[in-house]
Amino acid sequence: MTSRLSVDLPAIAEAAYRALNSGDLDAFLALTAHDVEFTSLVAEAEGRTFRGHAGVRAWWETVRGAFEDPRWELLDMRASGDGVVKFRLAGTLAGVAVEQTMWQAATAREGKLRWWAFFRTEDEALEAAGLPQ
Amino acid sequence: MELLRFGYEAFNQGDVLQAKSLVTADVEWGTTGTFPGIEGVYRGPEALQAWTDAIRSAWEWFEVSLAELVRDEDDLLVVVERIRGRGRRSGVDVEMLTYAVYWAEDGKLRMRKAFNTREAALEAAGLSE
Repeated sequence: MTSRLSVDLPAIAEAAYRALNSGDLDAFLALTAHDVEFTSLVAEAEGRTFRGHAGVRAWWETVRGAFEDPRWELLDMRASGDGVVKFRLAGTLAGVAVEQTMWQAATAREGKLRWWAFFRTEDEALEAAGLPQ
Repeated sequence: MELLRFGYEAFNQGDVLQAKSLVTADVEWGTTGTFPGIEGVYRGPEALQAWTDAIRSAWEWFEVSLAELVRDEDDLLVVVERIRGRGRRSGVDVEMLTYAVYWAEDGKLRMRKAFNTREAALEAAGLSE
Protein backbone atom coordinates (compact mmCIF):
# COMPACT_ATOMS: atom_id res chain seq x y z
CA MET A 1 0.00 0.00 0.00
CA THR A 2 1.36 3.41 -0.91
CA SER A 3 2.01 5.72 2.03
CA ARG A 4 -0.50 8.53 2.27
CA LEU A 5 1.95 10.66 4.23
CA SER A 6 3.39 12.04 1.02
CA VAL A 7 0.19 12.65 -0.92
CA ASP A 8 -0.15 16.13 -2.33
CA LEU A 9 -2.50 18.93 -1.38
CA PRO A 10 -5.22 18.25 -3.99
CA ALA A 11 -5.65 14.68 -2.73
CA ILE A 12 -5.70 15.82 0.88
CA ALA A 13 -8.18 18.60 0.12
CA GLU A 14 -10.48 16.24 -1.75
CA ALA A 15 -10.41 13.79 1.17
CA ALA A 16 -10.95 16.60 3.68
CA TYR A 17 -14.04 17.86 1.84
CA ARG A 18 -15.39 14.32 1.71
CA ALA A 19 -14.88 13.99 5.46
CA LEU A 20 -16.56 17.36 6.04
CA ASN A 21 -19.58 16.46 3.96
CA SER A 22 -19.90 13.07 5.62
CA GLY A 23 -19.73 14.56 9.10
CA ASP A 24 -16.68 12.37 9.71
CA LEU A 25 -14.76 14.36 12.31
CA ASP A 26 -12.35 11.50 13.03
CA ALA A 27 -11.22 11.29 9.41
CA PHE A 28 -11.00 15.07 9.17
CA LEU A 29 -8.82 15.19 12.29
CA ALA A 30 -6.59 12.50 10.82
CA LEU A 31 -6.06 14.69 7.76
CA THR A 32 -4.84 17.66 9.79
CA ALA A 33 -1.45 18.16 11.43
CA HIS A 34 -1.42 18.12 15.22
CA ASP A 35 -0.15 21.71 15.17
CA VAL A 36 -2.53 22.96 12.46
CA GLU A 37 -3.52 26.62 12.54
CA PHE A 38 -6.44 28.13 10.68
CA THR A 39 -9.07 30.82 10.62
CA SER A 40 -12.72 30.57 9.72
CA LEU A 41 -15.20 33.01 8.24
CA VAL A 42 -17.79 31.51 10.57
CA ALA A 43 -15.79 32.79 13.53
CA GLU A 44 -14.46 35.85 11.68
CA ALA A 45 -16.13 38.34 13.99
CA GLU A 46 -14.17 36.92 16.92
CA GLY A 47 -10.91 37.20 14.98
CA ARG A 48 -10.11 33.75 16.23
CA THR A 49 -7.28 31.51 15.13
CA PHE A 50 -7.96 27.84 15.76
CA ARG A 51 -4.95 25.80 16.78
CA GLY A 52 -4.23 22.09 17.01
CA HIS A 53 -6.65 19.21 17.01
CA ALA A 54 -8.52 20.82 19.89
CA GLY A 55 -9.00 23.81 17.60
CA VAL A 56 -10.31 21.59 14.82
CA ARG A 57 -12.83 20.09 17.21
CA ALA A 58 -13.89 23.53 18.45
CA TRP A 59 -14.29 24.79 14.87
CA TRP A 60 -16.26 21.69 13.94
CA GLU A 61 -18.67 22.32 16.81
CA THR A 62 -18.97 25.99 15.85
CA VAL A 63 -19.82 25.21 12.23
CA ARG A 64 -22.11 22.30 13.03
CA GLY A 65 -23.78 24.43 15.69
CA ALA A 66 -24.36 27.36 13.35
CA PHE A 67 -25.30 25.53 10.16
CA GLU A 68 -27.92 22.92 9.61
CA ASP A 69 -26.68 20.35 7.12
CA PRO A 70 -23.65 22.28 5.85
CA ARG A 71 -22.33 21.13 2.46
CA TRP A 72 -18.96 21.96 0.97
CA GLU A 73 -18.50 21.72 -2.78
CA LEU A 74 -15.00 21.88 -4.17
CA LEU A 75 -15.20 23.92 -7.37
CA ASP A 76 -11.61 24.49 -8.43
CA MET A 77 -8.10 24.13 -7.13
CA ARG A 78 -4.69 25.62 -7.86
CA ALA A 79 -1.86 23.92 -6.10
CA SER A 80 1.89 23.69 -6.27
CA GLY A 81 2.85 22.68 -2.76
CA ASP A 82 0.69 25.38 -1.26
CA GLY A 83 -2.69 25.80 -2.86
CA VAL A 84 -5.88 27.71 -3.31
CA VAL A 85 -9.25 26.04 -3.34
CA LYS A 86 -12.44 27.58 -4.64
CA PHE A 87 -15.46 26.10 -2.94
CA ARG A 88 -19.11 26.69 -2.23
CA LEU A 89 -20.56 26.36 1.24
CA ALA A 90 -24.28 25.81 1.43
CA GLY A 91 -26.47 25.22 4.43
CA THR A 92 -29.22 26.57 6.58
CA LEU A 93 -28.29 29.30 9.01
CA ALA A 94 -30.92 30.35 11.58
CA GLY A 95 -33.62 28.89 9.36
CA VAL A 96 -32.43 30.68 6.25
CA ALA A 97 -30.86 28.82 3.34
CA VAL A 98 -27.48 30.35 2.57
CA GLU A 99 -24.90 29.70 -0.10
CA GLN A 100 -21.55 31.36 -0.46
CA THR A 101 -18.58 30.88 -2.74
CA MET A 102 -15.21 31.36 -1.05
CA TRP A 103 -11.54 30.75 -1.56
CA GLN A 104 -9.32 28.86 0.78
CA ALA A 105 -5.54 29.11 0.89
CA ALA A 106 -3.89 26.07 2.42
CA THR A 107 -0.56 24.40 3.04
CA ALA A 108 0.17 20.75 3.70
CA ARG A 109 3.08 19.00 5.36
CA GLU A 110 3.77 15.28 5.34
CA GLY A 111 0.32 14.50 4.06
CA LYS A 112 -1.53 16.66 6.59
CA LEU A 113 -3.19 20.05 6.36
CA ARG A 114 -0.93 22.39 8.29
CA TRP A 115 -2.58 25.77 7.71
CA TRP A 116 -5.56 27.27 5.97
CA ALA A 117 -7.52 30.48 5.84
CA PHE A 118 -10.66 31.60 4.05
CA PHE A 119 -10.95 34.58 1.74
CA ARG A 120 -13.73 36.31 -0.13
CA THR A 121 -11.66 36.85 -3.28
CA GLU A 122 -9.33 34.65 -5.26
CA ASP A 123 -6.63 37.31 -5.33
CA GLU A 124 -6.51 37.50 -1.56
CA ALA A 125 -6.21 33.72 -1.33
CA LEU A 126 -3.51 33.53 -4.01
CA GLU A 127 -1.51 36.23 -2.27
CA ALA A 128 -1.80 34.42 1.07
CA ALA A 129 -0.64 31.17 -0.56
CA GLY A 130 2.21 32.92 -2.36
CA LEU A 131 0.89 31.91 -5.75
CA PRO A 132 0.92 34.12 -8.87
CA GLN A 133 -2.30 36.00 -9.52
CA MET B 1 9.91 -5.72 21.29
CA GLU B 2 8.42 -9.11 20.57
CA LEU B 3 5.71 -8.33 23.12
CA LEU B 4 4.72 -5.23 21.20
CA ARG B 5 4.67 -7.07 17.89
CA PHE B 6 2.28 -9.62 19.42
CA GLY B 7 0.21 -6.68 20.65
CA TYR B 8 -0.05 -5.10 17.18
CA GLU B 9 -0.97 -8.46 15.71
CA ALA B 10 -3.67 -9.06 18.33
CA PHE B 11 -5.13 -5.58 17.89
CA ASN B 12 -5.16 -5.79 14.10
CA GLN B 13 -6.92 -9.14 14.26
CA GLY B 14 -9.44 -7.80 16.74
CA ASP B 15 -8.25 -10.36 19.27
CA VAL B 16 -8.81 -8.39 22.46
CA LEU B 17 -8.49 -11.53 24.59
CA GLN B 18 -4.96 -12.01 23.29
CA ALA B 19 -4.21 -8.30 23.74
CA LYS B 20 -5.39 -8.44 27.34
CA SER B 21 -3.06 -11.35 28.03
CA LEU B 22 -0.10 -9.15 27.08
CA VAL B 23 -0.71 -6.44 29.67
CA THR B 24 -0.42 -6.30 33.45
CA ALA B 25 -3.49 -6.24 35.70
CA ASP B 26 -2.85 -2.58 36.47
CA VAL B 27 -2.02 -1.48 32.90
CA GLU B 28 -2.44 2.19 32.04
CA TRP B 29 -3.10 2.77 28.33
CA GLY B 30 -2.67 6.37 27.26
CA THR B 31 -3.97 8.01 24.10
CA THR B 32 -2.98 11.11 22.17
CA GLY B 33 -6.40 12.63 22.83
CA THR B 34 -6.80 13.55 19.18
CA PHE B 35 -10.10 11.78 18.62
CA PRO B 36 -13.32 12.47 20.48
CA GLY B 37 -14.35 9.51 22.61
CA ILE B 38 -10.83 8.07 22.60
CA GLU B 39 -9.16 10.24 25.18
CA GLY B 40 -7.34 10.10 28.47
CA VAL B 41 -6.00 6.93 30.02
CA TYR B 42 -7.66 3.53 29.89
CA ARG B 43 -6.93 1.58 33.07
CA GLY B 44 -6.91 -2.19 33.43
CA PRO B 45 -7.11 -4.98 30.84
CA GLU B 46 -10.90 -4.68 30.58
CA ALA B 47 -10.55 -1.07 29.47
CA LEU B 48 -8.66 -2.28 26.39
CA GLN B 49 -11.98 -3.65 25.18
CA ALA B 50 -13.57 -0.20 25.56
CA TRP B 51 -10.61 1.41 23.79
CA THR B 52 -10.86 -1.07 20.91
CA ASP B 53 -14.64 -0.67 20.66
CA ALA B 54 -14.33 3.13 20.56
CA ILE B 55 -11.83 2.91 17.70
CA ARG B 56 -13.82 0.35 15.72
CA SER B 57 -17.00 2.43 16.03
CA ALA B 58 -15.39 5.37 14.22
CA TRP B 59 -13.32 3.46 11.68
CA GLU B 60 -14.38 0.93 9.08
CA TRP B 61 -10.97 -0.61 9.42
CA PHE B 62 -8.02 0.45 11.49
CA GLU B 63 -4.58 -1.08 11.84
CA VAL B 64 -1.38 -0.22 13.59
CA SER B 65 2.17 -1.24 12.73
CA LEU B 66 5.68 -0.43 13.79
CA ALA B 67 7.13 2.37 11.67
CA GLU B 68 10.34 2.85 13.64
CA LEU B 69 11.96 1.56 16.76
CA VAL B 70 13.40 4.69 18.33
CA ARG B 71 14.72 3.21 21.58
CA ASP B 72 14.78 -0.25 23.12
CA GLU B 73 16.19 -0.05 26.63
CA ASP B 74 15.46 -2.86 29.07
CA ASP B 75 11.79 -2.49 29.92
CA LEU B 76 11.33 0.72 27.99
CA LEU B 77 10.38 1.08 24.35
CA VAL B 78 9.98 4.24 22.31
CA VAL B 79 8.39 3.62 18.95
CA VAL B 80 6.82 5.36 16.00
CA GLU B 81 3.55 3.70 15.10
CA ARG B 82 1.96 3.89 11.68
CA ILE B 83 -1.79 3.97 11.89
CA ARG B 84 -3.96 3.38 8.88
CA GLY B 85 -7.68 3.50 8.73
CA ARG B 86 -10.79 4.22 6.73
CA GLY B 87 -13.36 6.61 8.16
CA ARG B 88 -16.60 4.78 8.76
CA ARG B 89 -18.78 7.73 7.76
CA SER B 90 -16.72 9.12 4.87
CA GLY B 91 -14.83 6.14 3.48
CA VAL B 92 -11.74 8.36 3.51
CA ASP B 93 -8.44 6.49 3.87
CA VAL B 94 -6.01 8.08 6.29
CA GLU B 95 -2.58 7.44 7.65
CA MET B 96 -1.04 8.88 10.80
CA LEU B 97 2.10 8.54 12.82
CA THR B 98 1.90 8.26 16.58
CA TYR B 99 4.86 8.39 18.93
CA ALA B 100 4.45 5.96 21.80
CA VAL B 101 6.37 4.96 24.90
CA TYR B 102 5.83 1.56 26.47
CA TRP B 103 6.98 0.41 29.85
CA ALA B 104 7.08 -3.35 30.50
CA GLU B 105 7.05 -5.24 33.78
CA ASP B 106 7.51 -8.96 34.32
CA GLY B 107 7.24 -9.65 30.61
CA LYS B 108 4.01 -7.71 30.12
CA LEU B 109 3.13 -4.19 29.06
CA ARG B 110 2.53 -2.04 32.13
CA MET B 111 2.01 1.40 30.63
CA ARG B 112 1.60 3.16 27.31
CA LYS B 113 1.81 6.88 26.68
CA ALA B 114 1.11 8.29 23.23
CA PHE B 115 2.11 11.59 21.67
CA ASN B 116 1.95 13.58 18.47
CA THR B 117 5.68 14.32 18.39
CA ARG B 118 8.90 12.39 18.78
CA GLU B 119 10.24 15.01 21.18
CA ALA B 120 7.31 14.61 23.55
CA ALA B 121 7.70 10.83 23.56
CA LEU B 122 11.41 10.99 24.28
CA GLU B 123 10.84 13.51 27.03
CA ALA B 124 8.21 11.26 28.64
CA ALA B 125 10.69 8.42 28.48
CA GLY B 126 13.36 10.59 30.10
CA LEU B 127 15.50 10.35 27.00
CA SER B 128 16.82 12.71 24.36
CA GLU B 129 17.74 12.31 20.71
